[in-house]
Amino acid sequence: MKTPSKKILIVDDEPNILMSLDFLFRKKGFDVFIARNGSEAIQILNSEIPDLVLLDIMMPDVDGYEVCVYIKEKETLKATKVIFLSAKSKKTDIEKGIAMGADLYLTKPFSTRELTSEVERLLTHA
Amino acid sequence: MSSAVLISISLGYVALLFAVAFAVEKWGRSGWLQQRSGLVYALSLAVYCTAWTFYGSVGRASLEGLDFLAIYFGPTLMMPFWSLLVRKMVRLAKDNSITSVADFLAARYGKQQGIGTLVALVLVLGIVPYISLQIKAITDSFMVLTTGQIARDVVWYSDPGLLTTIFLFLFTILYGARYLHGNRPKKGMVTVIAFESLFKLTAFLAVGIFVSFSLYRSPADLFQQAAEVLPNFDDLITVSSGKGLTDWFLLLLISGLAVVLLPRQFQMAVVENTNEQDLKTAQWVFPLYLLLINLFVLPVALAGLLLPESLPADYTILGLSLESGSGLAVWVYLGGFSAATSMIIVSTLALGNMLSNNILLPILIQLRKEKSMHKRIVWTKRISIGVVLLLAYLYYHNLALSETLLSIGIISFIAVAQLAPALIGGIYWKNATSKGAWAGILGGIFIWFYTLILPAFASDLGNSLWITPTNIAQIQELTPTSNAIIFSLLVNFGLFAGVSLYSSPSASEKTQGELFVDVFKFTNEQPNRYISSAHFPSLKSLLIQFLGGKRTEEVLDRYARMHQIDWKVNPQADSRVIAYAERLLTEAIGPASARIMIASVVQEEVLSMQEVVSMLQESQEVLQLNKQLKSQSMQLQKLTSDLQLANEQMKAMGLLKDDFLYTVTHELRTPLTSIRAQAEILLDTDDITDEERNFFLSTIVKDCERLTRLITDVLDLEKFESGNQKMQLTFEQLPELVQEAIDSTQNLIKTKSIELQVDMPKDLPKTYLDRDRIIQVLVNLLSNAIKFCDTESGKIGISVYQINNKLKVNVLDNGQGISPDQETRIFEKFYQAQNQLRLKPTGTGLGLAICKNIITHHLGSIYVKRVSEGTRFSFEIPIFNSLQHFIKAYENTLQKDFDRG
Repeated sequence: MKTPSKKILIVDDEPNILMSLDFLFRKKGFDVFIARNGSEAIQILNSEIPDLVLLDIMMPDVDGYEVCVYIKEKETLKATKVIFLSAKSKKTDIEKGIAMGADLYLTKPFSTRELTSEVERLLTHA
Repeated sequence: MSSAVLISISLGYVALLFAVAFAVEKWGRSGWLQQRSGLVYALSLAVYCTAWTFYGSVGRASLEGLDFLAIYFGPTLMMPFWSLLVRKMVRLAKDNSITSVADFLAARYGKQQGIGTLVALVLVLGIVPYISLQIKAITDSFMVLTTGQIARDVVWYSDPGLLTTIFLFLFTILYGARYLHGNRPKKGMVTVIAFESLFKLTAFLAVGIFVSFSLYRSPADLFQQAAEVLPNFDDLITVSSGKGLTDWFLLLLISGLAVVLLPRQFQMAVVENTNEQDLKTAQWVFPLYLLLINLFVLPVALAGLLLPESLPADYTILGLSLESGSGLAVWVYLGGFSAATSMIIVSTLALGNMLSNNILLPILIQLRKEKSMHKRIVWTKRISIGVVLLLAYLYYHNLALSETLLSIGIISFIAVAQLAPALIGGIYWKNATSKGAWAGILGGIFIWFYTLILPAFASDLGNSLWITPTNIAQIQELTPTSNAIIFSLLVNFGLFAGVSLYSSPSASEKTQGELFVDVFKFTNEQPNRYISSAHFPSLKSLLIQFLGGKRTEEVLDRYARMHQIDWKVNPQADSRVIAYAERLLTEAIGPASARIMIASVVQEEVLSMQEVVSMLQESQEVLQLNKQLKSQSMQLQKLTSDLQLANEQMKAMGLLKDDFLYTVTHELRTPLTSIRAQAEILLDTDDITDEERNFFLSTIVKDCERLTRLITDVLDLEKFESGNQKMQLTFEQLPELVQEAIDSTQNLIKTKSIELQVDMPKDLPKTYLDRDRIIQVLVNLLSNAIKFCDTESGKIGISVYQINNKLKVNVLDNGQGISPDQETRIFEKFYQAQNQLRLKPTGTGLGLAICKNIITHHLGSIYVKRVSEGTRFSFEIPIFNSLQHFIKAYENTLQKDFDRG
């Protein structure tokens, strides 16, 4: 019996990055959802329970921090992992991201190899 | 009309009252009403107009002509004094947690129970018949409408008056006596009363208009017919002379006093007042209301007299409305019903309150066995309301009310007027004493009883008495009414003033007198009459006993938070806390009982008057000093914040540079991320199609271009900001540059099929400028316009012209435009990138910042404005016809900047 594919939600306001990551994780056999900003992400999170969320921080209207808070506060999303992908590269930024309950914080530009291996690690451990 | 139908209509109306009160209590007044608390307040005062007004005015007008008007002229003339008096009373009631006239007088005269009890008794005696009158009006009007006549004996169980009384009892305890603390705003009830006022007014106006313009051709027609037919027409349209005239003026006085003193007026005007500003509205709305409701009294009365069959005079208005059919008649019936019910609700609430605070509760407290009283207090209030209604109903049922509506009303007014000297004197005359008040009220009410009540019950007894009750001074010119008014008030006032002068007030009376007369001087500064202290736990258990545990915790918590007291640390309650506790108790059980209860747990030393006054003066001085300190500290605060601002500005200058770098690196990382991700995908994915590969490669190229643009822009900007930019000045024709910019964007304009309008004269003067830089600005503005103009039918307008010594370029597009607050910020670095909500910017976010720098280096200005057609970017640069001029002006500007900076 085939296990159902893992769900992943990618949130970024940069279309090229979104497109690349979408392609990347589809190829790896994930069920991919994409959101171009925070409010779209929250809309999707209202109906879907992704196993993992890749989250940009600096976005217009609802930013990545707010989406992260939303995920952490929602009972149904308890098992959902969060990885911040951000150009904010200061030490304080990273600490803040982890303090908000993210499982990982990768600074842009990140390596896709590192990203995919971290994603798989997080999802198999779970 | 069948009685079943009319009963259902009446019940429907009562249900509506419940619904209104329920809705207002639950959801508050909605927007429109909320804005008009003054209007609601003013209309609620029209509870003054009872069934006595609604039916009785016409009744009296058909017997005695214009005499009835005194009842409404009195309050109207009183209005200027009314607002002075009521403003003072409102302030006093709020400061002292007073909920009734009886409490008011008890508080003024040293918080003694006796005076409160006396006032409560006088008012119950005076007002209960008046309430009966309303029940009678309900029953009578019901009977007139169903049977065509007033029934003499109605069996109690089929009496609509009783049914109504029961429902009004429920309404009053539900929306009037719901809470322990009687001065809590009762918005639901007040709104209902205002609604009823409006209802009775429209009903009366409707029947008035019907009679004047439908039953008769016009008021003039009606008057003419009346003049022909009625033998006493002249008497009816003039105010009576002689005996009647004295009566008339005395009625003005009595009704002017009643509008202040009647329990229902006190309840509405003083207890239910939530904002002193509302008095201003009431001052003109209330007299206007009185005018309107009396407008048609005389026409209706005359029309009633002209009817062939005769109805009881008081119900003329109902008979007339029947002429138009049952619709208007029901409306009028409900109008009278609303007048009666509003009076009953408010009066029983007020009287019930007095009865419970001044008669029942003191007894209950004397007998108290249980620990917890607070539930009993609410129930005592409710039972008191029930008792008042029951008394009124019994009075109505057992003592055949033979008098017309008006005369009972007047007897009632005269009784109420007996409080005038003690109350008005009490708030304007410091030397008024409780003995004076006692003597005045007792004397006045005795004369009232002797001249008005005694003759009614035992007319034959009156003749055998030494002094004739109905005419004490044996003056032929006085009617019994005038006789009663003059002598009761004379005796009352004489005793009040005389006894006050010849008795000395107790310490507490003296303090209260001081406080009441000078209330505006001492506002918010509740002075302590006692140097007192109490063990906090015993004070608290006293409060729990009367207010209940929950509310006690609530109020003490609030107090502790406001004054930063920790009860656990400091178990000793000081005078302020005790005064606060006393106020809380007053809300529940009235001032006199509250005083007794407080005294039972407090060790206190009563201060002499001098001490109190000097304490007050001291607190006044402290207040003054406080004010000065406050204004000084405010100045200091302003200075501090100014300094802080300057400091922050300086810091910001330094941070700006860091900020810029941080943003730039962030902006660089974004395309880099995309490039790296795609390159790695190409590298790692084996099964990639050619199509996908090409797509990724072309995206990588685009991202590289974006990166290049960004780097160029950043370097450009850096050059300007560091002052390293060298200007290549040449003598140019500006329109030529504009044309060049248009040419370089021509392709884009065509592909987006944008309509371009160019307006530039050929003969503009040439000027020195940096050709490439100005073209850069023009291209930038044009590309922005192309990017943001309307996507369907884009339009761009370019115009170049000369103003004085400047050349100006406008670039107008018909896009969505920008908001006013963006107008200056849009020229900031990366502003676009950080704030664009819908689209990710395709530019670098630096273009306009560079433009601004370029134009500034040309000593010009650039700005954007939202106009009706769209968004208009403009820049203007000064015309220089020689290089020297440019350089000189440039150096001057630099010098200025240097001096400034």
